[in-house]
Amino acid sequence: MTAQPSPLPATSARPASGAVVNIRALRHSFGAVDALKAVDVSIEPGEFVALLGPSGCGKTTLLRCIAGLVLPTSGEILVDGLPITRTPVHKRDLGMVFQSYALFPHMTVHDNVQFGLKMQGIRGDFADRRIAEALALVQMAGFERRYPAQLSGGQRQRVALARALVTHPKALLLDEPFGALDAKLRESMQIELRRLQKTLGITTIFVTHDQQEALGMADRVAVMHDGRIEQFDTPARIYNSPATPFVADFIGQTNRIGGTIRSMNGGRMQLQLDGPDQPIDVAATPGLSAGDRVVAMVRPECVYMASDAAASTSVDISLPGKIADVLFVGEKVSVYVQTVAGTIAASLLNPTRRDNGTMVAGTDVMVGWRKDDLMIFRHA
Amino acid sequence: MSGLPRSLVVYTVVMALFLIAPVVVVVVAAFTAGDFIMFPPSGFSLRWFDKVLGDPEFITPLWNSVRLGVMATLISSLLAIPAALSLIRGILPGRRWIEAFLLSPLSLPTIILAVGLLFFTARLGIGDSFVSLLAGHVIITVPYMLRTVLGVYAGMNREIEDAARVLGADRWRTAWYVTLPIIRPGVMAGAIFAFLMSFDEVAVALLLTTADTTTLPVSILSYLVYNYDPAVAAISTIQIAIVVVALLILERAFGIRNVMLTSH
Repeated sequence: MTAQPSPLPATSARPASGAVVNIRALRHSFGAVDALKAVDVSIEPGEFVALLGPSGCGKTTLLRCIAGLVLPTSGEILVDGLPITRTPVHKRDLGMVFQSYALFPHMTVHDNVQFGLKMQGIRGDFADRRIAEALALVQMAGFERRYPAQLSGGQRQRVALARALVTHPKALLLDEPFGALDAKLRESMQIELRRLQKTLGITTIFVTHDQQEALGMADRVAVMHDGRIEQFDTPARIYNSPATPFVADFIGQTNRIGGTIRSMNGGRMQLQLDGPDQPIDVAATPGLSAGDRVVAMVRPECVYMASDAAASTSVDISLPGKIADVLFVGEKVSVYVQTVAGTIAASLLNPTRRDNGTMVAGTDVMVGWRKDDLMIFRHA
Repeated sequence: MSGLPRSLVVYTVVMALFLIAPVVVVVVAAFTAGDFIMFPPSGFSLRWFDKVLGDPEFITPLWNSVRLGVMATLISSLLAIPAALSLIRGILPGRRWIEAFLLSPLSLPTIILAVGLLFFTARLGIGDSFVSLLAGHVIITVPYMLRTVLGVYAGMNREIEDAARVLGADRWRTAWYVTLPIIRPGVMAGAIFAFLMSFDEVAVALLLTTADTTTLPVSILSYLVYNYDPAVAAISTIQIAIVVVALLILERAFGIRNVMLTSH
């Protein structure tokens, strides 16, 4: 009996593969450098988590600690409640996809996928069925006899995924798996991986420095910076309610405006922004007190722009300015406006279709935003 | 030739004159029908090959040399491959020094090594001259193995080994199923170089061999002291043929150019 390749073969033989992954106070130091500083993460069964951050933030080190390729200095990693911190790599039963794919160049696609089963002592018909199933899952049935050098980047990626999934691991770890693919292919692989992950229900931890990839694919995103997790939350909350200035700055674009807290009054505070004349009354940020210097941030898509003051009634703060630069990027236009509060970027949805060429550098405009759209943090 | 830079022309001419011409003279002279080494040879005959191949004075040393070369190569592979892997892989303190030490026989005059070994093995009481000879040749051949393996392994993607380990292979199975097959070109190239180094090594062999462990280069040398007949040319031609065949295998299988370029 041979398994019939189909886009989504029956997975009834698959055990419930969503493991709980807990990371407790994990630290790692390379000599004098602390790559991880007391990281705590709890990942739910079947959850898709992205570790996002700039290079050197510790995200890859964290992933390699979970895989067992890096031994943490202290702390604990638990899979389904069992500590695996000191378990050797080859006994952890995890699947991993590497940035370079790391396929075995001297083995065919079939032998690459077979490797994990062979190491577990699984052979014969059962192994062959599992290999066929894994290759069908990533739509690579029929490529068994090819060598990695005979495959395209996207195909290698699929084989690497099949190789990682064939052993039905407890969790799937991916280290920037789409870094080497071009934009179009990357997008289709992202959709496919997401679909596959949901179908299998496998707990997945994904390292990326690409915020769109992280926000678009993950159930929850852990934003990392300098060896710490700054915020671990849903993509929407990461974007709309960043917990720290770093998260606000790193995710998306922000306009930063300095300010001072004039007074605190119950749940409200008076904020004097650097530039505008009048202080504004906003919801209090916990931990701030009168006299504190703050940085207020507003996303460019929350900035309204109008040709005269009368038009901008829906905003709480409104500043006159002069257009400094216009950047047309297709579906939207970024307009940089010089104001008393510095340069304010406004992101407008394709206004050039209706605009009759008035949006040019040097034009006097009003920019404004609602005070609820301000994200206020203590000045670092 | 007119398109070649002058320096390259000079190099080519000098190489042809002093390296290839003597070899050609020896090989051609081996086919003489006469009783003396002459160039051009007088007539064509295989009589000297016939004499040499039937003469234990040459055949025994030839066999000794092959045996010594093969064993020295095997032992230096066993020493050099694990050393090369851990040199590249580990974050060893003093990695550079260890590597320099392991490669140091390359810059040591073999005659000094030979004299040292002679006293050393005598002092240790190693009576068997083959064992001390083998030890000497292992020392000489280890750097060749080490260099080629270091070169190939340094160029290998480390994530491939990580992938094998995550998939359930322990260190040994990772080495056996993944690392060794991938670095095989370097290992084979190093092995052939090592064999060739041992095969025509004179200094150590001259001091450490006895009558029944004489190697081919030593026997040729001692034959030349008292004889000047074309038998020497014939046995040398056989030796050259073995070397050329080894290099052809190397070139065919891996491309000597690739192997040389991936070395340090």
